[in-house]
Amino acid sequence: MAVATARNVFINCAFDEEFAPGFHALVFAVIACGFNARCAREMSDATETRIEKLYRIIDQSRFSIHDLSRTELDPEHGLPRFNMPLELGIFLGAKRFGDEDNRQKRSLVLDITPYRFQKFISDLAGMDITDHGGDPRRMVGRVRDWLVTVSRRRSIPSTAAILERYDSFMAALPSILADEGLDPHNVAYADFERLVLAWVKRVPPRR
Amino acid sequence: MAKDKGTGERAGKAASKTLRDGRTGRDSKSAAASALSQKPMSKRANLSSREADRAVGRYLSKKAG
Repeated sequence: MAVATARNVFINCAFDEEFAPGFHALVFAVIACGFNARCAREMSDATETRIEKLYRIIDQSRFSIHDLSRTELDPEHGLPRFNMPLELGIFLGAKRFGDEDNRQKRSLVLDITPYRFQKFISDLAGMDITDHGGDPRRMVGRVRDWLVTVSRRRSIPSTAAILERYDSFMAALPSILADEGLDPHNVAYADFERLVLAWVKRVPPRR
Repeated sequence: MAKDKGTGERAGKAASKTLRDGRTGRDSKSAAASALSQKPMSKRANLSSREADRAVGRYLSKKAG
């Protein structure tokens, strides 16, 4: 079993176009706070099944962010989307039944409103769910505040400083992608992650 | 296990066109919105880390200049 790295933050959320601003906000916040963003979209061995990839990433991550806001009925099939709750369950299982290292795992569970989750995962009652109202900027702040608490790192910039960099990066992203001949409406995860890393390196926090 | 949390890019483009069309009925728009909400982000990387760094550098230089 791999050692869960205290720099790795597993991001569990929807990857569809509608949630892309939220996903981008979560990835930016994690990287701007000095951590590694890990998710199922990262490149891997093509022979590795999706569930095996999730097991590996969860095993390697001390921290995790689970956004349940897109856990909703598919209008076409009338069935709920279960991937996000499933991955939250795997992480909770690793923390509960894993070795000493896995018991150090910490999670941030996000949703649009604080109590909506009780209608579809009542077993989570009593857990502290953080709401963001669907606002990507609020997601950035929620992630930053949580990482300060669970990591106890003093090097993490202030919320205002991270939001300033987030706003400037998101404003610049369409131009950067267009200059590289890439579609601003369909940016690959690996490209987004690398551009965030470059931005954070080149644009230091002002305060 | 589901293939992914989204469906195909082609379906997403078709759904987007349907949603923008003022002649489209309510049921069709609902189905199109569902398809669009499941369109996945692209998986294929186009930029290396070095290229991404240079792209950001070029943008910042252009903005400063």
